[in-house]
Amino acid sequence: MAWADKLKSGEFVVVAEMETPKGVDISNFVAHARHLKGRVDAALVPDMSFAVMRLSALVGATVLKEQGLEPIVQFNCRDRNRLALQSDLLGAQVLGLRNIMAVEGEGVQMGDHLNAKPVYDLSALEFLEAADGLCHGQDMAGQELLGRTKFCLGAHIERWGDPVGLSLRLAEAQAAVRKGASFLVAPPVFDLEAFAVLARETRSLGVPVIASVLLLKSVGMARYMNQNLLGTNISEGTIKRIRTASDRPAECVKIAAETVRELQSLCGGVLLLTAGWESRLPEILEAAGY
Amino acid sequence: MITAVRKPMAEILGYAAQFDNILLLGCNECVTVCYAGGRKEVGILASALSLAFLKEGKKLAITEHTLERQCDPEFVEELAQTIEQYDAIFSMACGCGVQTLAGRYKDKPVFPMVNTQFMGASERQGVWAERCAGCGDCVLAYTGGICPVARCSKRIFNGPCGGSTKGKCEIDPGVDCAWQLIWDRLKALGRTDLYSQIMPAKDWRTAKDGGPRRIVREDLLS
Repeated sequence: MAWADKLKSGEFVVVAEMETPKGVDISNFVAHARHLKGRVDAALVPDMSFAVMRLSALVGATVLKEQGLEPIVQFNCRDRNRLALQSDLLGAQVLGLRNIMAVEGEGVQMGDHLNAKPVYDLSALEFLEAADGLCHGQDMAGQELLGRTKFCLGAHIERWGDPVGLSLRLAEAQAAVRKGASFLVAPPVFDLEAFAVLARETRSLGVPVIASVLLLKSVGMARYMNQNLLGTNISEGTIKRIRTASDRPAECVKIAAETVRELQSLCGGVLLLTAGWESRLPEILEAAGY
Repeated sequence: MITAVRKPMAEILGYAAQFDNILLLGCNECVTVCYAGGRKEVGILASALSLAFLKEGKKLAITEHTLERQCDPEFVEELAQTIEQYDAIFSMACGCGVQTLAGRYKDKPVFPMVNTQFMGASERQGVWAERCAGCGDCVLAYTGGICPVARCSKRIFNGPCGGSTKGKCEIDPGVDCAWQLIWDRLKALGRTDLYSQIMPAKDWRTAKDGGPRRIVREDLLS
């Protein structure tokens, strides 16, 4: 079933993030894709997340499509101006990539090309508006297009740290839906109670919220995230479980799978993030009952 | 200096419509030099506003005042005693001045009366042109004193591009090709060897692209 139809069906969706390689050897990327075929509803291809230069998301998504997966292509606003973004959106349509997700893009200060010049000609909201315009046969300059695009658009809900931050995120989410977003992706969930507030508050938006589930890799990673990532609250109980486990990676997989199951009653789906451990995706799916 | 031009009257009237009593505030620095927001321009705008209100059968109380520098907390502080009596401040300073006012008088609406343009120099009476983009890593020593960031339309560091024709830029025949100027000047200086050195891809961190910038001089901190 196409992604857009799946969303409309109201079923709980499972999406796997598939980061493109830093280079041109796609053998692992393809191998991971083969293991996911028929087991996830879609595969999200990030667009140089954390400003690390990688193989193009458009190309990555095309490779996944060839492998029989339903790709969602991320477009960041950091690296391209409105001409390039629109041009690549047209390209996506021609390549048969219909699922597009807008992100602002992390600052170049976070990546591996620190001296790069960021673009940010458009914000994610303006990008959604532009993409919606292409679906209506018109570009941002008001010029008619030869044929229209047909996209299922999505947007990201950024992290928040307090109730004021949450209200800002909710306003952004509302604006994204107004601009055409049919799904929203929330940041990694470690605190179900905190996420439940977002889930409740976004219910009236009428589009599914997909919660991210990040596979923790180590105690160090959990502690680092608690200290450095806004709004991240990984409990001491979870950290202790990893620390005391005889097989720590297996325990991390178990924790991720439990989170997936717990989220089933709270939101529209999950996005599995493995931060380079794509080889573990089948285990998480298995443990979560998929 | 920072250059500016006054905003269209219709926009200013739109801001003013909701108020009865405003402080129209000029700045004695850059905007005075480029005839956009000094004492004289404060007087002209005050008259224009009053006339426009009278025409509509309304009245707007306007207090005219000009600070030495609106971008300097020391001078902005002098408004502290009188600011309460105004509904809003209509600032004729550049964006730096408007934000200094907004930061100091947090509950007072502040409106910009000018559109801040660029860091430029006077070419002749009544003409200013962009000369510096504040990129934070000056290359003028290698480019004959002509800036490729501020004066090349594409901000390229190894020009000219294919759009340079007879010393002019493709975007407008009235715009000089910065790289033609650079070449001519290096030739005159006998330093065309500088042109043959390929400049590396620019590190944009020192420019605005690295995020909002700040200068902290430890030796001057009190």
